[in-house]
Amino acid sequence: MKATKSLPISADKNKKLKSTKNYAIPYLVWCFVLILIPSLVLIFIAFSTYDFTSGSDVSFTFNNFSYIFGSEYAISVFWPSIGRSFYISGAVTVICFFLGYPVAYLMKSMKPRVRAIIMGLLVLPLWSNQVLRIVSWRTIFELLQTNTTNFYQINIIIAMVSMYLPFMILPIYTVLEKIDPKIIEASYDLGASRKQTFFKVTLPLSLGGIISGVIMTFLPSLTSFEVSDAVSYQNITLLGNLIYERFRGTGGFNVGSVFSIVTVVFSIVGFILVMRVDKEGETLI
Amino acid sequence: MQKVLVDLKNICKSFGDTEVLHDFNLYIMENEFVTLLGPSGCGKTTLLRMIGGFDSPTSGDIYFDGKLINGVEPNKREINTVFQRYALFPHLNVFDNVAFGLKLKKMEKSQIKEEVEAALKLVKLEGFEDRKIDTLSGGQMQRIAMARAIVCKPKLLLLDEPLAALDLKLRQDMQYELKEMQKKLGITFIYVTHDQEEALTMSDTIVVMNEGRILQIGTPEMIYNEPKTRFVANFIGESNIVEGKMLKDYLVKFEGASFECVDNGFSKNEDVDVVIRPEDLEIIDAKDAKIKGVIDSKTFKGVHHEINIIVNDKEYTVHTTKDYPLGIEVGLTVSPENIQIMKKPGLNTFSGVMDYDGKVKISDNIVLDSESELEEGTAVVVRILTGDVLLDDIDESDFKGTIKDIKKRGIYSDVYVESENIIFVSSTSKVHHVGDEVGVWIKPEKVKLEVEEDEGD
Repeated sequence: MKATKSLPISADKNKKLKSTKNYAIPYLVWCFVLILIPSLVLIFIAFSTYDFTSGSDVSFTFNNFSYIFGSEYAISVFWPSIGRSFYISGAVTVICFFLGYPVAYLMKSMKPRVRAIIMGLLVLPLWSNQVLRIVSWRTIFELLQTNTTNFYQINIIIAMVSMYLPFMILPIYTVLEKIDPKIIEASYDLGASRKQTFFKVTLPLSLGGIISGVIMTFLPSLTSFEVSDAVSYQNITLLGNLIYERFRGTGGFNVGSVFSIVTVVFSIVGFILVMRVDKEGETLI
Repeated sequence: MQKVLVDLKNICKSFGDTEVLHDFNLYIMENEFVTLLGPSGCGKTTLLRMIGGFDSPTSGDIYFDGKLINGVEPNKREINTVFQRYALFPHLNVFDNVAFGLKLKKMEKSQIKEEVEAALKLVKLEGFEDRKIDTLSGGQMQRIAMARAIVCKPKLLLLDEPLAALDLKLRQDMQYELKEMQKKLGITFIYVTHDQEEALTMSDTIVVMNEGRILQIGTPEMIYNEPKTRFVANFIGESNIVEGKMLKDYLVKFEGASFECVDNGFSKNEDVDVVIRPEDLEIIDAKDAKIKGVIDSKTFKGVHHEINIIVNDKEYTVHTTKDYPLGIEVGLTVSPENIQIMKKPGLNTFSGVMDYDGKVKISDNIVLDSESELEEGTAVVVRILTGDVLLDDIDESDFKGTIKDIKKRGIYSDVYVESENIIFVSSTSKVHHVGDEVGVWIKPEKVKLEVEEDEGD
């Protein structure tokens, strides 16, 4: 009796699971067409001599990789640009952290209405066109007459901070908000001052959010090309600009692919870091 | 000679418009295990948070060890708390959780290790030092929370429903262990719970609270055997509460019969509530009994049978080890010392006439505000609970009167105030003296009106 009774139920469950699985198909197709295939094509181009414009013969090669290590170009342009990219995105990330953490911390203790307003102000700029925001910064620098060689790097950093600050604040806020207020009270109760409580309890408990925020500001600013393009009038070349140059013109696809793969490697390292700290992925919003 | 460790004086606390604690007065002796017992929302947790320093009273003073500590930050108080859901630090292991307070005291490393080990031994979790918090069970987390607090050697330990999240068996074991720990350590415990069994098992003193006021303070035996109010009787275990009349001292009448009892100090024929615990009622042969009833329903509870008996349309609950068949007529008896007499909640009753804007006139010069929208000139009966008649400074009051008499009623007193030949009774825990002139003040929402019927009642 029991066995026959349980059969239809489990069959029904399987059916349900199958039907909900179907909803994931569009996304799987999307992944396949727009992520997996292009990635494979990218790897293929990076390891081949294939030229899209002339349609030349295809042969396997490591030359594109050796190019970024051995060539004159690599020494004078590629590696300095990577260094500059790391320097600028590093500075952007550090500034975003020191500006963003206090905002996230204060938001936690705000009245819900004030918090909603701050949250709105944070998210609102994301609704406007990114190019428009970058161009606005350029106009501001022109008005301030700081659009000169000496200020290009600083201008890029300022513009990028404004661009990526919300991505630092939001994950940190999400984590801070989840901290049980009783845990903070327990710290006071055991004799910790406000400062001690912050450094011994609040900060370590928000580490997951900090790492998410760092990744979410560091990676996009590392690969950004629009900001340096517009704000420095193409005078400062970053990693993103190099890739863009290769793919915009003709004949640079193979080396451009290698540049892209280098960037992807950085991204993967970043995500491995996030996964190690934040196992449940709750801080990635 | 024991000394007072915590002294709460005239504590009032409001959140916005809601008053959580009304003029709360309580002192706690050193080494006492005091339980604040009451339903949720009675103000017990708020009180505990104020002692811990996480909330401050709207008015009133908190003294700890003889010093006023109103404005002292929680980290500067020699008080530790065991929080309701433990509030352990999830990023630290067991050792670092327990050592948290000691490290802040800049103690030697070797000494910290010693103290932590001793504390873990006390809560029976030796060898758990390196465990992560999320690998612990609820009972273990509770013990770590205890260890983390007592390792700091506070003078006072506050416990906010620490056992609420545990299952029944574990809770009972922990009750015993907590009491043992308290005796061993010699620390004063203030324990907050809504669980009457917990309170009765562990406490030296129970403070029963409701709606921000103390209803009764006493040992577990006193609270259980002699509840002072209907609320306490109901809250502490099951009770049969019936209406009765005090014929004279030591003689009460209920269910149409008079019974000897051990209570006195009531006025002649005063209406009272009679409280009898289910285990104190005895089932006897109907023909020998003053109270007769029919067995209506019964439930087997393991140790005893719970038998419901209908007497004059009222249900009495009896706990007995003997089983009886349903539907038979039985008699009930109770010995005098098991009859508990309670004063009925006091009521002031006046007749009055409606004036403009909801004002009601009860004599030439005494006009009370009410929230009524009755028409001007309507004759009404005015009822005000004695607890709602507030005595205050003369300038802030509705009218003034003279105290004619004061009757002590346990922890509070009934104060009889005369004004223009009308007597108001006020139940208050504040100290007053006969002959004093006081201001009388009644909140409009506490003035209950009923239209007076023309043809009597």
